Amino acid sequence: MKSKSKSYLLNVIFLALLSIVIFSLISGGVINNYYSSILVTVGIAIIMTVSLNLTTGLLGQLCLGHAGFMSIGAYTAGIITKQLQAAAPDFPFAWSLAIALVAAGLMAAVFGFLIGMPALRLKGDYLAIITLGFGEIIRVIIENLSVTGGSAGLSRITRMSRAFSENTKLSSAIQFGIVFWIMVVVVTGIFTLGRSRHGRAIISIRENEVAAEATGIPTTYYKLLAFTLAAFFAGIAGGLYAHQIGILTPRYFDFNKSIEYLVMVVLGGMGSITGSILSAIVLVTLPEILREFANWRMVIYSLALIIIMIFRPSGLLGTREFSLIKVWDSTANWLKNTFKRKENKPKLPFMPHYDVWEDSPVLETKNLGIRFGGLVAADDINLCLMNNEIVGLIGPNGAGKTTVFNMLTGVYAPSNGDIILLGKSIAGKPTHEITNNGIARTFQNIRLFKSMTVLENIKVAFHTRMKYSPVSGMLRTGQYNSEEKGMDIRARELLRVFDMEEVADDNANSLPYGMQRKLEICRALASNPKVLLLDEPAAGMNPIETQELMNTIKKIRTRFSVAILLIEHDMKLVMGICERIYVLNYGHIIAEGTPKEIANNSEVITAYLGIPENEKQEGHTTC
Amino acid sequence: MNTKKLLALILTGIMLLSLSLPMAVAEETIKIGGISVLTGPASLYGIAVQKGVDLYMEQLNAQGGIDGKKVEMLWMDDQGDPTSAQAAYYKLVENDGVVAIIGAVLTGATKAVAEAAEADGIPMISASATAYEITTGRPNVFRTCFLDPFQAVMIARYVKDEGVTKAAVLYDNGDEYSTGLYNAFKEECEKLGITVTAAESAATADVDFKAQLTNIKATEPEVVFLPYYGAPAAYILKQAKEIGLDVKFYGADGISNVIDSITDTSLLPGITYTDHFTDDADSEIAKNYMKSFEEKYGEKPTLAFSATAYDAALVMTEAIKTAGSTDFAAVVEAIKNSNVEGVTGNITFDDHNDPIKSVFFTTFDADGNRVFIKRMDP
Repeated sequence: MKSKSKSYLLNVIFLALLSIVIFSLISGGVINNYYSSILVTVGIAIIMTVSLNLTTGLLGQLCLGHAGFMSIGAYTAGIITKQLQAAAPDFPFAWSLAIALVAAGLMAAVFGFLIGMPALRLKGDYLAIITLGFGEIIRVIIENLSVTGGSAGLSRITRMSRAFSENTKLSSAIQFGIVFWIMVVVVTGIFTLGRSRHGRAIISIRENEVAAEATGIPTTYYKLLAFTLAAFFAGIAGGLYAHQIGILTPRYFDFNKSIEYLVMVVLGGMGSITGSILSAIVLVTLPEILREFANWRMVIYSLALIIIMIFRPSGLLGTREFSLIKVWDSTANWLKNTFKRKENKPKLPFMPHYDVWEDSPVLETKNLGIRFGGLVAADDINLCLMNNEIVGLIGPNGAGKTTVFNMLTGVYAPSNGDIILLGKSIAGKPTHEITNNGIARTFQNIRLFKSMTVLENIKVAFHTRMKYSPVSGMLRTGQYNSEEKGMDIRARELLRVFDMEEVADDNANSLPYGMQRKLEICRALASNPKVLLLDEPAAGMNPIETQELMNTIKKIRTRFSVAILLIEHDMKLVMGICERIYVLNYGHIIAEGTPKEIANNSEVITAYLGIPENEKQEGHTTC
Repeated sequence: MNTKKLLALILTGIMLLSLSLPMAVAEETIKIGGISVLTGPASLYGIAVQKGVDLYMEQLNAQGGIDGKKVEMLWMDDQGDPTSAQAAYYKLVENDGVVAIIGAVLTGATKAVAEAAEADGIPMISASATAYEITTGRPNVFRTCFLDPFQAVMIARYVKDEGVTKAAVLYDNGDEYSTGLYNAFKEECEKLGITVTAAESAATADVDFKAQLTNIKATEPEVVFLPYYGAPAAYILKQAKEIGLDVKFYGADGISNVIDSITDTSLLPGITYTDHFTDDADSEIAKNYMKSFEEKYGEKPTLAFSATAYDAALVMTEAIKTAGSTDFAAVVEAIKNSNVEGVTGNITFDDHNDPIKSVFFTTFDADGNRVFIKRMDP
């Protein structure tokens, strides 16, 4: 561990040395304005690409209007420095630049938030089209406002390469320093955020939105957070751009610009931050290197793109990262070790205390029903789940079992009736809130966060039981460290219970089927529920696996003290472990009782097997 | 794996080849940088500029160059992108050591180059950037094309001479060129007592103008001013015919390539436009230009920008000759005091570094040939 943090420290020293070396090369005139302007362009492209990767790579939402946020930032910053200079010529440029950049980021963030609110309700292609439209709207608005100079744009924005000093070389060097360190801060910020509970929440939305919500992640909040944050950084990049080039034309920030950055993200690998950096460097410098080829340069550039995408379809780095960026982690740790000599005590995830006593109901539904248009999918459902009870919910296909689950977990809002969890009504509340209040579920078709590791899958579920903020996640504060440590301990403990500790660092989708089922249950338990809903846990399992599952379910009940409601078609399992069974048919409960009672109930037999031929006549007359 | 290796080899080969090329030239030359849009949709303008400049430099070098030194033109493609244009500028100035800049072509790119050139004080002439503020407050930045507002003013005066009292405008509100022309036209019309009956606008890249044209028709103007480039103008002319708007149309220099987009050439005689140059110009240098252009490129110049570019090269090299050195300040001073006979007429510069020169009113015949109408002096 110590040597590791030392090697991280080397990275920090490397970055500092790199910036100092380049700084002195520029101020000494070895690197001329041409190369330094390319370096600055690369830096800005990196900020743009990495921030776009936050929405497109980590959150998994295709955004085609990133240049729109850049233009908002560019114009805001440009107008501010121009106005400040006009109003107070003696005000130091460095300060007005700082103010302008912050304002640029905030302005873009406000727009990101406003666009995100309606847009993020949509997914995939629809969101892409909205963001595309947004980018164009922004451009048209800027073209028609007088404060932005209309279609002529802004010019004579003070350029960083001239403003800091009479000595233009020194001024260019300062420009490089500013862009370089802002880039470093943005990149490490996004990187560390991605490795905190907030980052896991964002990635889990990409992996499986329904499961994320059911695991307790407020998905709308995190989508907005990621979107707004990406807009903020794009705004800063825009502010830097304005003061690099000195002129702004609305047309520069068109659809093609957004696509250019998107290409960088895709080329680098969706979700890989170091990949984004690499591809931004390659795609900005390539056309410059190829300038010698005149007309052929676009052909070579496009060919290079095609070749890379053929040989590396998932991008240069896929989702992998270099260790170089783990810098922040280590510096924080190293600083702490040196100056405080105090280890962060692990703080275990918060365990909600459920105020229930033996043999009292934990979950009740009262006359629960839902209609989809004219179709009554469920009606007059009265379920009752006692503390630590295992209850089965069975019924023929299409009886409405999963619909009941979806109402209990807030996926559907019931049309009438009420759901009482631990004495409180939860009907119509959002899924993640219900999860926080103590209901966890699994899905009929497994919904894991596939490209995350087993351990990370569990950690996503701990999300609601932790407190540290996104900022503290970015800065890796003590609170972050102790909570993350505590969570790691808890997650491994949980995996040990299910004999899955040795696969903790494997990707979820590399597990065999039975293990995946187990992991889903394990993840549901991580949020520390009082009620566990299992939707066909034995589906697709062989008899041996089913037997093992029965033992696991029993074990869960005693160990975690949860009430379990399960939907299942495997009668051996249902009859084997359920203490009570509800039978659902055509959206109504037709029977309730012990397994034995149910097995002998004539109505249930009829529902499952149909009416015997010789009794049919009689059946009709009673109707 | 083998294909990869092969590709790598080919690419390396191309690289090496390119490295060996510049080394062939070793004699002492005067290097001038050209920044132009040579690829992409606007390359039509950029290539026209490049051809004009190259033609002049070839003739100059054939006559011995400047004081025995040959002029070497180094061209950079900016793709019309301001960032790329500025990088190209720095590459030319800092890496290649050029002593003057001709370009850029599009307004945004030219502004970005001018922004950098102003700080360095290097002499710069654009042959095509018509936006007013490019030369404002930049003593070292010049142009050889006239300005957008200037053309509009001349058109207003021209229609006044024709006895027109009611004019309408259809313009692109997202385009600086178009809005600039519209504003100047409106202003001059007010001065001259011409009523602007309708000022309709459309968004950039619109292709359906019927709503605006119908509104214009309702106000019964005698002429319609279209500050548009050729491609949208072709749509407008076609749709105007469809809704029965039968008036004379006027345009500025941007509309001159309408001929490339229009299918019904019978509509062409309905349009009159201002140009920097006309093929029928009768001065000695203009005739020579037309002849040598056709000899070198095998076609007539398609755009007047080739002529303004030819003049830009002429003004620049003459100024270097006059200054007797390539010292930036001396060359800038020489350009400022230029008084040379160019292809597009006699060129001098005003206080704002804009050329003082004539406007050529031009139209088409039904076969699509340009027909010179008259020349107006400011």
